[in-house]
Amino acid sequence: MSFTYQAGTPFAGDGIKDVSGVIRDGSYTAIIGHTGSGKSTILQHLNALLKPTSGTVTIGDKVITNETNNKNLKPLRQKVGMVFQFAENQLFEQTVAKDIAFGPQNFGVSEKDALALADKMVKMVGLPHDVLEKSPFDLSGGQMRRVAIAGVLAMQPEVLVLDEPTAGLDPSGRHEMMQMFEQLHREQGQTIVLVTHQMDDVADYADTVWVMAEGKLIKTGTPREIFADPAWLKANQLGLPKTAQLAQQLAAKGFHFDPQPLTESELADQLVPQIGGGQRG
Amino acid sequence: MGNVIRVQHLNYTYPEAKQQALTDVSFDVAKGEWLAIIGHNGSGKSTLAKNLNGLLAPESGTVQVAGMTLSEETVWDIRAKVGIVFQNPDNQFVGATVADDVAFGLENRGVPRPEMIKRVDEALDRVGMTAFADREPARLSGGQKQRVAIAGIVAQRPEIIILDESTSMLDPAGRQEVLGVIRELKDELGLTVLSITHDIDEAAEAHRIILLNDGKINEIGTPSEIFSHGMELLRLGLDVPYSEKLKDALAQRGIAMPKDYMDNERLVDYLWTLHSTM
Amino acid sequence: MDKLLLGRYIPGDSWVHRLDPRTKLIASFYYIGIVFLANNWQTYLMMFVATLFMIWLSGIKIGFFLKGVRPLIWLILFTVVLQVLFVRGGTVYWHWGWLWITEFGLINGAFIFVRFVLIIFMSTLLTLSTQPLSLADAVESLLKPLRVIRVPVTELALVLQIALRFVPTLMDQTTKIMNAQRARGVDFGEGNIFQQMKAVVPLLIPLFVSSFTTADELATAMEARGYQGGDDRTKYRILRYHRRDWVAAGGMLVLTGLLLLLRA
Repeated sequence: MSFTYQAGTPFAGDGIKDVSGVIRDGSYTAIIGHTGSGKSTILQHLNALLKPTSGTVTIGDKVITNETNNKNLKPLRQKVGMVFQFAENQLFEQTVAKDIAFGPQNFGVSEKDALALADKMVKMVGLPHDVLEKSPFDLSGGQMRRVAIAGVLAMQPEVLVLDEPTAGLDPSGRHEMMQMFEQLHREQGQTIVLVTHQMDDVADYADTVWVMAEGKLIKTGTPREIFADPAWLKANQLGLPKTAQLAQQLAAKGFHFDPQPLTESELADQLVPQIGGGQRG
Repeated sequence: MGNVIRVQHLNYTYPEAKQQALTDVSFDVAKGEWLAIIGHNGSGKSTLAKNLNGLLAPESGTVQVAGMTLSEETVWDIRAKVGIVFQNPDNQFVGATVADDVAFGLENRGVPRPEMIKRVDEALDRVGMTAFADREPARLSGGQKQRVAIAGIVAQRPEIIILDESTSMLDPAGRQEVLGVIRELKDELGLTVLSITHDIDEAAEAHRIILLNDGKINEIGTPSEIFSHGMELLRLGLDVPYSEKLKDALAQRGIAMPKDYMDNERLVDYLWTLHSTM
Repeated sequence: MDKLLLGRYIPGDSWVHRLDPRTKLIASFYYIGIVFLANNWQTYLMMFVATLFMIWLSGIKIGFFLKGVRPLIWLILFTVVLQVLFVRGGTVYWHWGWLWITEFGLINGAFIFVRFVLIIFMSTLLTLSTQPLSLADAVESLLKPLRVIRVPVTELALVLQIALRFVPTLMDQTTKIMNAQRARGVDFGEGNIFQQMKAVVPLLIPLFVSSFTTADELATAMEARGYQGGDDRTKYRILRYHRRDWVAAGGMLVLTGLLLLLRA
């Protein structure tokens, strides 16, 4: 299943203009850009929360234009599961199990099956089993967020869209959450679209990057391609992953890197022969 | 330089809680120091901050701030000396406009209006928000709201400013904005800064770092000393400095690296030395 | 959009905009009171002209005022029809059972219509030319004498001010929660009345929870900044009468005088 996207939504505020792109089945796409560049607006087109002012959005085999009737859009919400920023704000049920089961039930899953799904999903997001019967409001912020994510995963979407899922979490929380998505991607081939400000996450996990600025899509490519030009990134108010930053400093000293390393593993691999391999004590 | 904060054997438990939130916490803060407090979520960091200005009443132990011992009588005077910038930019913004919010603390203390106007203008200027004086909070970014919060505190002429995870809900640009303003103000006004944070760059600005774990002080040291914990830092509630991550990756590939913390520049120099003496 | 909905304040620098909000508030109520003094076509015409003059002074397009009438048009027409069909007097044009269309009925119908329009125009002028926060300040100032009988006027004013400050924020929060629940398959506004009511639950509960969290954190922040309530707080925003306010008051008196003169 793939996504084709050609849209223009010029409305006051966070509009987008003339964006075209494709999200392939099984890919891990990161969307980056300064605040207000249109990232959230694009996301809301992916599950038809917004319809394009002009152009089309094709989700699977359904084409959406400005004139598409709202009544037929509901199945798309299950196909494309969206986790909003600070997702813990969407919890409302009396127990965690019921909240997770809420989404699937809206799409016709029976209560019994939905609760079984809740059971599975709780494990997938790394929460202990006894959390199912607790009130979501008795949990910590990080746990609440995982419950919200479990609620979206329970709908078994084909595409998982994540809007800054680690915002406000502490470093180990961030690490665990990104590892969880990576596991979903690797082991179950989940297509992922991630909006983030963390360039390190883009370098570590994504295989495709969309760069947004002022409502336009200004570049797409692999992380290696996108992070190859530090001057261009800086001009567009974007940072470099920490590995690339250090590699820059090392290159200035005289080290050589080919191809440009994205992670500390790659950097270490390329450094080892240049600093004497395992010969030094 | 005297101590502007003295905490001795502080204990605190939340009502109806099973575990003690703070156990036998003791430390001093020198005037003009930048002290970072780090720890994983739930380690007691915010609880500690709220005990310092009496938002929570210590169970036992003493807290001395700016020469006053915290008690029911001194609590309001201490709050004039200590300003806290909280985590959620929206939930501490009281005023209907930027200028109104900055004036809020001054109104509370019955400052006469002409003096208020002067201090509000001055504070807004110091944080670079003069152009936004009549703006509504709903039309400000997170970083701008936090700057307004800082202005509101600065207008009260405090001695100490506490940042309670004030940058954790901001995007990278907002974080830099806020830290830049704090750095400047600390120098210009001689403030003492206590910053509760997960952010490694923020912690690196500190003179000393207190490591809190389950309500107890685990360790107090300079950033270099604390950062040398390397990969363990993740478990302790802080990010791992990149140089430590690389050191770890190199060590895994059989390259022995010194245990002491090196920042990026020193690491680059060290690696070049290895290369030159190959 | 949100800003237009609340109070629908239209920014401007007209003489009317610059009037003290207390003046405008009192004048509006006063005006609505003296409208009932009009009882012939001369007085109604005079009030109508006076109102149009005030609207012209404010620099706000007449279209906004007509929009203010639209939501109430059915109520107005209903009342007018009642007048026309049930008030008797003067020449009879038509008659059937209890229903009469008479000269007096038609005249009264017309008068009622004009009265409604004038009242709506005046209150619309108040909200279009005055910021909600200024109105809150005006209410606080006018109710101050009530402090004598222990009414917590300053505290209530602060409550009102904070509520106004959070309206746009709450609306943003509502939109976010609605989107999040839509993404989980909720259909707001579809289905029968029971289904629609059910759909509101996943919106209201998170809103309530986040509002309570906000209130709690805000109270903590206010305490940390030295808020203790009470009347010894000074005020940063103050209201001051100017000459134009006395001119406006004078205008109202002149209007009253003319009304008394011209009425039947």
